[in-house]
Amino acid sequence: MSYSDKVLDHYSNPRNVGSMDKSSADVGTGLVGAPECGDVMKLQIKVNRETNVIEDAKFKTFGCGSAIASSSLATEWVKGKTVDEALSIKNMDIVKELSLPPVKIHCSVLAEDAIRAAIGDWKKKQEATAPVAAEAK
Amino acid sequence: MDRIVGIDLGTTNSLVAFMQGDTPVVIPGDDGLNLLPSVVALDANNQPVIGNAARNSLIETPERAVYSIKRLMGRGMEDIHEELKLFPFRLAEDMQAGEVLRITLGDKTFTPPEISALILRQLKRSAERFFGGPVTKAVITVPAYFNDAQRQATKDAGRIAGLEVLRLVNEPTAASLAYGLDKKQNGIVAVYDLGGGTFDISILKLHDGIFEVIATNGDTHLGGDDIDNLLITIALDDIRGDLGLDLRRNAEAVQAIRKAVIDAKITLSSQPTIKLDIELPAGKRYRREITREQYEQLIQPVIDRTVGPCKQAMKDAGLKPEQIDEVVLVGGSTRIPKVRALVKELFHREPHTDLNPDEVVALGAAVQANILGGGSEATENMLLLDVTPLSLGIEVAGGVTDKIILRNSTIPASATQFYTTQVDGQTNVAIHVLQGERELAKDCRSLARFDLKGIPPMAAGIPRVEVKFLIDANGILHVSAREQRSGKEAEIQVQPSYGLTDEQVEGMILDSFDNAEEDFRRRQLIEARAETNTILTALEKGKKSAAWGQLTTDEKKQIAKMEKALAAVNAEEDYQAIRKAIDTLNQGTMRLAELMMNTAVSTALKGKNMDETDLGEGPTAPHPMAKAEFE
Amino acid sequence: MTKSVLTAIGAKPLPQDTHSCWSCGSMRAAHFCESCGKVQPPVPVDYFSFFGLPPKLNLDVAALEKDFYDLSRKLHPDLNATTERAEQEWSLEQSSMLNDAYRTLKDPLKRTAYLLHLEGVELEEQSKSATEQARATGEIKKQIVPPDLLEEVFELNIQLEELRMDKKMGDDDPALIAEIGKQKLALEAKHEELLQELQTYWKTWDGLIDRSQAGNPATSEERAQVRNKMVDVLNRRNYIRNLVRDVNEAMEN
Repeated sequence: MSYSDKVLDHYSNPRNVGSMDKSSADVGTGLVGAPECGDVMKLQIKVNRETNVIEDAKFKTFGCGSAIASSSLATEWVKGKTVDEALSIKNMDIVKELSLPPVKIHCSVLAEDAIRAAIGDWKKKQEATAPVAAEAK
Repeated sequence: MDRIVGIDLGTTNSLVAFMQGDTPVVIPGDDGLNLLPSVVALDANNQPVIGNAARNSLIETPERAVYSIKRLMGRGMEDIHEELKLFPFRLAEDMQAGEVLRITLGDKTFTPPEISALILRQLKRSAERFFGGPVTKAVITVPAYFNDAQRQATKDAGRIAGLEVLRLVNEPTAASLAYGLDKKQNGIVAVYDLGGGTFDISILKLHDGIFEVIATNGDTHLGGDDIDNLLITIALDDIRGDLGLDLRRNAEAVQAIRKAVIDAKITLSSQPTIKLDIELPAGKRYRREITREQYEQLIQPVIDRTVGPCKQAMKDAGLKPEQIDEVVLVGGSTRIPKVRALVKELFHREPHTDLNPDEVVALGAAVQANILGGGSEATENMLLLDVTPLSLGIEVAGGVTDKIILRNSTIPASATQFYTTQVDGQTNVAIHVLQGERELAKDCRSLARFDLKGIPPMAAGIPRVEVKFLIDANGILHVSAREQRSGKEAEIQVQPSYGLTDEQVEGMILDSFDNAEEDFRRRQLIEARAETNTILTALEKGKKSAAWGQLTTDEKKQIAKMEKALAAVNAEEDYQAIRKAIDTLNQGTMRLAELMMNTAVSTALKGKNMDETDLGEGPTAPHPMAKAEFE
Repeated sequence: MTKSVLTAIGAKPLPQDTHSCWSCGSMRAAHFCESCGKVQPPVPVDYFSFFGLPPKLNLDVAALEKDFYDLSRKLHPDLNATTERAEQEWSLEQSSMLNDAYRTLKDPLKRTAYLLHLEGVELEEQSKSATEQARATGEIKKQIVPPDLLEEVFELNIQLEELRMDKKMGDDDPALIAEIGKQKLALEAKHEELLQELQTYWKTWDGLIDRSQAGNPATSEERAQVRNKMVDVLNRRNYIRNLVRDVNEAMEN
């Protein structure tokens, strides 16, 4: 039951912190919150319109170490995946990878929510700007 | 009703007090002084010497003496690096990490609770002299910010000393009881307690005799010691620079410097300047003048460390300085004018200093002892509701602390957690209990690891073990567990992280409870016989003095008779009879003593050197055969 | 917790029937004997019952404090230090329960969360189950708190981060400090509003309890409706509370 080095590493060296242009057509933004503790997480993805592959991901999280680590890990995981593949990431995968304790499971839920919300936002944009691409899906 | 005494087991000084009628009083030691320096030394025969007597050996035989042992109570080897740099603690050479600390005195080793027990035993004896009977129950004070391990170590020390510790009381709260006794008012009180080695701030709400602590904070490693160490370091650097002498490893010289800077520190509380003049090895001297202004600049960083805890305590209490009605100062270090100025600035008011800051904690402990013993008219309606200073948590997967009892919760306090198994047929669950405010377990203080055993084998996740954590009125944790589906009590094995096991404590007990009466009687006998020797020796001297010739034959006969009677009872075992015979002889030699005094005075008036006159014990003692203080 | 809210709650007296229940001593007798004062073995009860109170949310905090003090004078281990071993154990358990109950009930938010817990609401679980539902249906999870609140929280956090950075570098941005100071006031006002809102639901809840006691039980829908509203307030309040805390910290340091 020693503390998880992975959490610590993602906490002290979070990957992909930052932001992208929210108004850009190929960027999807998810802003979610965990009411249990008042944490907020913003996750953004940049998707290649041809391949549906997530080329880049950035996040900004205000919350505890586990929330930051969860979002850091989430951005690592979604990069290089297609949108549909990314949707298959479940909070329990994050829990396992980071050995999150029961009291911090909501942090992983937050990360899953953020991925879904960002993809949802991107899809909405595609429907609005390029109905063809949306049909292709 | 058993007598219950109140004990302030301090870093620098310790005291014992008792509620006499409506007033708490400090019981003096056999040297007549209220303060017992918390110094323990071994004499040439490896017998422990405590207090002022041990102070000399700090300089003469520093390797056989120890002070400020409170700093090591309940701590492990890994958390005393700072202490080892600044204090001459000599750890036993074969110490292992994770083991209870052992300190070397001469060629023996002692754990911190054992050394504290020697101090407690000395206080116990003072109280026994005072009452003329055994004392086996006590209330002992601890810094409010002491954690579970430090509290447990203090309780162990009491047991080793042959004392049943009925309650551990937080020092600032004890002080508030002493203050509240004669004030009986309602309102918000802040107690600022800066002692020899610890700092506490407690904020209380007083309401019709209820003393409710709302918030507490502190630093168990901040006090007068830190100021001393700062001054010692400066002196050592000066000496190295100016005189080219490196004395850092010279224990005798360091202790001599320590004594000088402590004196300087005390003087600077009332005088504007002090001239240090310390004799050093190799015939050199260290001279330096320090002004109060310089001194205050030097110590500013140390006393500034009390600001954070004060602000945090006010924040936790949800109070602004204006809402605090009274501020009380406790601890010798609050005599420093700069400290008083800081307190005034922090709380926007002039602090109270009516009670002696060295004694007020012991007096409060005596009040609490009285309440526990059933109370009296003076303490009627008085009740202390204290809090736990640190949050209690358990380590959950991922190394995170899950807080289950928050700091500043009124104690006793409890929390219940449910555990289950992760593997089919698992019968054990490990629980790691932590104390502290940080998020990660590694940053909190490990209290103990519990092994829940004997869970009935079931499929994973099916057992439901209810674990109850309870912090008692001493601030000490108790854990109990029950498997809910089978109703079976789970066995708990505790591995205290830094404490002694029950068996170890048993093996250390100095005066066993069962033999309290017998031990007391034997000790009294030894002391009475020692006194017989003193008085008979003095009498022999008296007989050789000029005054003896001035007594009538009848008087001399009477004295001879009393002398014989004393010698006779002295051979018996009845210490009370010996005391009585000593008293009689004392009375009978009163005129002899007066005559000797007169001779001494007239000799002095004639301008003779007093050394030439045989004065027995001399004029410094009003009665050459003055008996020791004894009630 | 702000003081004004507490006193506002405290000003409302307990209904008469609660008082008569107190004076007949049915509950207190369970803690200690009325005639000889001896502490009794503890009985597991909820915190409201421990104080002999109905599960209502408006309560007289001053009266609660008085009861807490009175019961402490009977149950505290210091006053039972010379009794039999078993009595000492009971005293320890009873007084820890008293302290736990008082700590929970005196705080309006802890009291509300505790009542919701008694009602079977697990505040910790709500987000997780909503996510599981979203995953199963493939829909975007409806955030438990409104998006504009999240947006606001996020923006303010960014500003706070700037402020901290400025302070670290020794820079001073008066415009930023003024802006955050303004936001802080707005947040405190919002916090106050939330508590006011919560109190309107308390009133509804207490009305249901009164009705039930009068023999006209509330339907489970009625209970659920007011319960969900309280959960919603508590959720939003967590964000505001964190922000007020963070703003204060950033401004202080």
